Amino acid sequence: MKKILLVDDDASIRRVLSHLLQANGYSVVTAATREDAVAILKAQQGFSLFILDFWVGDDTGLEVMADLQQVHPAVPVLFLSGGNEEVALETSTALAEMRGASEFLYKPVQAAYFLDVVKRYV
Amino acid sequence: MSESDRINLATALLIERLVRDAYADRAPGSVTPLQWAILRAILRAKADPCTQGWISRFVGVTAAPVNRAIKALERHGAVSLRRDENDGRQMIVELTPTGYELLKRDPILVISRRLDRLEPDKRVEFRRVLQQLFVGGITIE
Repeated sequence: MKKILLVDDDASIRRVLSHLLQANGYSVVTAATREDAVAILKAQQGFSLFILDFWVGDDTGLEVMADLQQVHPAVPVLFLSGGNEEVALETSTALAEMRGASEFLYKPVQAAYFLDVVKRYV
Repeated sequence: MSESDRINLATALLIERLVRDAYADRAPGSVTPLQWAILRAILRAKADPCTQGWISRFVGVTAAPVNRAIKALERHGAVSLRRDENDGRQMIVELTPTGYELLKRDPILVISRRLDRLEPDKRVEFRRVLQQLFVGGITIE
């Protein structure tokens, strides 16, 4: 079973996306913070995909991505964001792509489309 | 003004000039920078319903100027509008064939091509510095 790490500080998003992914045959590990994500990576191996919120507490997903890629540089990263009042989605998308993110999806994302994109990388 | 401030201002001016020159190469008065950003946003929307509200959020500009820009693009024939079947208050904006053609002449392609002419290591360094400027702005201010 392919294993996905999902990092999002919103508990409802973690619950909904985990349920959706698990119902479609994926194993999902979730983290609410950058620190949790790093701790999980130290304890567990074998991730096929990282799904990151662009805003994780006081951190940006870019920082989380850098942490994760230090350990697993080849694992694709898929970003999700609903935006932020101060930073346009256009800017966060470009920054993520410059760092090598595989995809940038926008909340609320349609379930079927989200799963299609996940399948592309896992 | 210190020597360092003077050099920083000159650098900032060149960054601004790089972008302004790219837009100046296009037919004046036809498509504004905000309208270009909206066309790019619609192209980005993928499976998401591309409403005026979503576009506004994507480009980071309030609703009124975005709606005016969309109306102008509709007059250019670059976008079409239809009512959202799931939410009658929302209008969905779509690219027309003219819009897709127009995007082939997007001014930022000029800058992208100039970046492509940089030596690979210079390009990587430029990207690194640019990200630092933006991420610094996001996390510090």
